[in-house]
Amino acid sequence: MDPQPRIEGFLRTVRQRLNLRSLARVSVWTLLVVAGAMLAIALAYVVQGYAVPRSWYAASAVAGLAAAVAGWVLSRSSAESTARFADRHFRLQDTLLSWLHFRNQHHTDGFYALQAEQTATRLQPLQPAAVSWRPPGRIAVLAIALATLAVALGFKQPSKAVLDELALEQATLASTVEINKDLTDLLDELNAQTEDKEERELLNPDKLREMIEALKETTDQKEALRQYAKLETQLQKARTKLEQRRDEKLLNDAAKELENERETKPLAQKFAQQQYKEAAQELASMKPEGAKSLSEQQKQLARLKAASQRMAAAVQNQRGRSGSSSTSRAEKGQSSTARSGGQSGSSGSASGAKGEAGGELGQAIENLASSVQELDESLNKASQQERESGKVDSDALGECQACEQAVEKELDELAKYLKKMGIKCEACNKLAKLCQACSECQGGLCQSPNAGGKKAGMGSNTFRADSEEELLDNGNTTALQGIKGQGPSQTTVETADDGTGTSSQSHVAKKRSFERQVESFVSREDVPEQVKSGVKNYFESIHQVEETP
Amino acid sequence: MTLLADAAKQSTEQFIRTFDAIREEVGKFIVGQQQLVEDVLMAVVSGGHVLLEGVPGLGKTALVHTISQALDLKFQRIQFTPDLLPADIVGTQVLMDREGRKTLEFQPGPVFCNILLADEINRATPKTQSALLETMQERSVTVAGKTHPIGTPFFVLATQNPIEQDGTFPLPEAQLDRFFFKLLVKMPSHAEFAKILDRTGGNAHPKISAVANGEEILHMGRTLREVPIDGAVQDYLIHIVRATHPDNDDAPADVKRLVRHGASPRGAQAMLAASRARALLAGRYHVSRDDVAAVAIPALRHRIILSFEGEADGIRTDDVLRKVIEQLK
Repeated sequence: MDPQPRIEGFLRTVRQRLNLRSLARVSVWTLLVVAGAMLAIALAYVVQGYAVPRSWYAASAVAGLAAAVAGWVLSRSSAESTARFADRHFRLQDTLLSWLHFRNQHHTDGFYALQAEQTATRLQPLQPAAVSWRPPGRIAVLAIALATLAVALGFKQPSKAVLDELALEQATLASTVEINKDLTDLLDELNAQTEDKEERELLNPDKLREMIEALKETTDQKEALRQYAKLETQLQKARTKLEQRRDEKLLNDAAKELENERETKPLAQKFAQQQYKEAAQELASMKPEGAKSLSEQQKQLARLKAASQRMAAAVQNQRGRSGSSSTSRAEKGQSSTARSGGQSGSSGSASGAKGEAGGELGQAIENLASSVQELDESLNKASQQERESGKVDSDALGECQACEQAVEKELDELAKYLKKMGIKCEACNKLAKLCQACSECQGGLCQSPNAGGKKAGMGSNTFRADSEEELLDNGNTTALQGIKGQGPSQTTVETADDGTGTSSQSHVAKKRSFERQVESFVSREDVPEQVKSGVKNYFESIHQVEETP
Repeated sequence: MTLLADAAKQSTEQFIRTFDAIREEVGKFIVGQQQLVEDVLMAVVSGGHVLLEGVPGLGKTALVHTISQALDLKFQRIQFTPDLLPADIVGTQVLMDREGRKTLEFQPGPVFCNILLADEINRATPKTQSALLETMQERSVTVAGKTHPIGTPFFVLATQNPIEQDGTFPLPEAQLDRFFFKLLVKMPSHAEFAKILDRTGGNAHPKISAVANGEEILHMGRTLREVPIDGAVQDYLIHIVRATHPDNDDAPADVKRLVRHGASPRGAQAMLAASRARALLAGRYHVSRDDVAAVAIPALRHRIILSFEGEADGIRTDDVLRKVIEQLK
C-alpha cells in the first residue's frame, strides 16, 4: 500500500487545523489591538466631553478586518511548516520533514521507500484532531471586554459645554457667511455711489474687493474675529492715508471767522459741514466780472474780499498757534541735537514750522487774499481817477484787469484744492463706513449664546467675606523706587581731612553705640549664625587690640 | 516494495542484528556502561578511532580487550611508556641474512593489525604519539621511503588518563582530530560495582566469543552510509560545527569568549556517520536532529581548543557544546 496518500492526508488535516488556529489567533489579537486602540480614541473623546464619532468605529472595524485577513494570509501554514509543527507536536523526530523533502527531491527507492513506509506506520496511531485550534482564552476574553467597553463609550452623549461649543461654531459659521455677504453688498453699494473718477482711484474698490473676498467662512470664532480685525486695520490704514485733518482744521477755523459776517455765512456753513465741493462752487460764484462797472465790481469784490480776509485771518491764527508750538519743539530739537552733537540746525525746524502753519491750503488762501487786496486797491485807484477826471486811463484799467486775472487764478486754484478735499473726504467717509461695518460684525460675533449673563435671580456668589480680614504687611506690599541722581538726599557724606583730630563724642558714648549696633545685629533672626559669630569676633578683636597697649 | 528497498531492509536488519550481538557479547564481561559500549561500537562500525579517557581502573582496557574478543579480528596492544619509540609502533628495517646476502627488510610493528589498543597513549612522548598520525588517517605506514598498507578494517582504540595526572603528555591537536569519538569513562554505580565484583572476583570468567568478522564490520559501515539525511537536518549539523568557531557571527557569546579554535570538517564527518548509526540503531531510516545533537558532544569535545580565558576559568568543552546545541535547538 502506497504510504504517500496517507502521509499527505495527515499533513493536510494538520495544515487545516493549523490554518484554523492561525485564523483564530490572528482574529483575537487583531480584535485586542483594534479594541485597545478604539478604547483609547473613545476615551480621548469622552474625556474632552465629545461624543465618539461613529466613523471611528467603522474605520476601526474595516482596518481590523483588513489586518486580520492580511495577517491570516501571511501566517498561513506551508507544507514545510506543517511538517515541522507535526514533528514537534507528535515527537516524530523530523520524520515528516525528512519525508517531505525526500518526496520533493523524488527520492522514492531504497532507504527512502523504507522511510516513507515507516513514516506512514508512525502516523497511523496519531490523531490530527489533537492539534488544538482554539485561540488563547485570556486574550480572547480581554479583547472582547475591551471591545465592549469601546462600543459602550460610543453611546455616551456629548457634554453641555461641547454642545454649546458646537452651537457656537455653527453660529460663527453662519455669521461669517452673512457678514461676508453684507460686506460685499456694502462694497458694491459704495462702488455704485462712487461716480467720480478721482474718488474711485482714491478708494481703489478692486483692492477692497480682494480684501473682502480673502475673508474665510470659518467655525472658529477667534479666527473669524482675527480676520475681521485684520480687515478693519487695513481699512483704517487706507483711511488714514486719505485723512486731511490739518486742512479740515484750517477750514473749520476759517468757518468760524466767516460766521461773523452775514455775506460769508453760507460759505462758513459749507466749510463747517465739510461740503468742500459746494464751498468751491460758492467761492467760484464770488468771482468778479470784468464787464461790469467799477462800482459794481467793487461791490461784488467786497464779498470775496471779506471772505478771503477772514480765511487769511484764520490761516494767520493757526500759523501763530502752530508757530509757537513748533518753536518750542524746535528749541527742544535743537537742544537734543546739540547734546548728541547733531548737525541739523534751525533751517530744518524753520521749514517744519512753515509746513505746519497752513500748508498748501493756507498758502492758497493767503495768495487769494493778497490778490484780492491788490485788486481792491487797483479798483479803488481806478474809481478815484474816474471821480476826479471823469474817466479812467488805460494804465489803471490794465492794472485792474491784471489783478482780476490773478484773483481768478488764485480762486481757481483754491476751488480746485477744495474740490480735491471734498473727494478725499467722501472716499474717507466710505472707508469709514466699511470700517464701521467691520467693527459691528466683530461685535456681533462676540455675542455668545450665553451673552447677557444669567437670568434675574439666577446669579450666584462664590466668594463671601464673612469677617473683616486685616491686611498683614509682609514687607512686600509697597515697593519704593527712586530715580538715581534726582531728588533730595536724606544723608550726607562727610569726609575728614588726613591727620589727627579731636573727637567731639566721648569714648563711652561711642562704645555704647557700637555695642547697641552689635546687639541689634546679633539679635536679628534673618542673619545666619555664622555671620553673627563673625561680627562678634570682629568686635571682640577690636576691643582686644585697643586694650593691648 | 522494490528490490532496493528489500535490500536496504535486509542490510538494516543485519546491521542491527550484528550490532546487538556484539553488544550482547561485550555485555557478558563489561558491567553497565551501555552508552559507552554503544558509542565505541558506533565508532568501530563507522570506521573511526576512539579515545577513551578515565582514571585508572575503570575498565577501559578491559572494554577494548573484550570488544577485540567479540570480533574475529587481529588484535594488538601497545603499552605506551615514555621510552617508547616510533619504530616500536610502526616497525623498522632489520638487517637480515638471506642466503649469504645481507639485506634490509621491513619488520612490521604492532600497528599492523585490525584492532590496535593504544593503552595509556598519553604516557608516550609527543614524537611517539605522532607515529600514529599516518596510520590513523591513511591506514598505512611509511618506513624508509616505502609505504606499507594496513589491512581493513583498522581502528585504534586508545586509552588515556586525565591530563592532570603526573607523567602524561597532552596529545597533539592533529592527532586528537583523528579520533572519531572521545569518550569519558565514568565511575560505575553501586549496583554495577557489585556486579563487577561478582564477575571478576571468582575463578570463573565469562567466555567471550567472536560474533562478527571484518567483512561484516565493513558491510555495516557501508549500510549506515546509505541512511538518508534531510537537507534541513544536515544544515543543523553544519550550524553546530560552525557555531563552535569563535570567528563565526552565529557563535554564542561563550564560544567567542572561551574558544580559541572550533571543530574541523572532520568533526562534521564524524557527526554525520555517528548520527546515521544512531538512527539505524533506533530503527529509523532517516537521521533526525536528535541524533545529531546526541553525537555532537563525543564527536566534537576533543576538537575544540579553549582559549586562555576558558582554560583559566576551568571551562569544559562539553559545557560549551551544550550551550551551542541549546542555542541552535
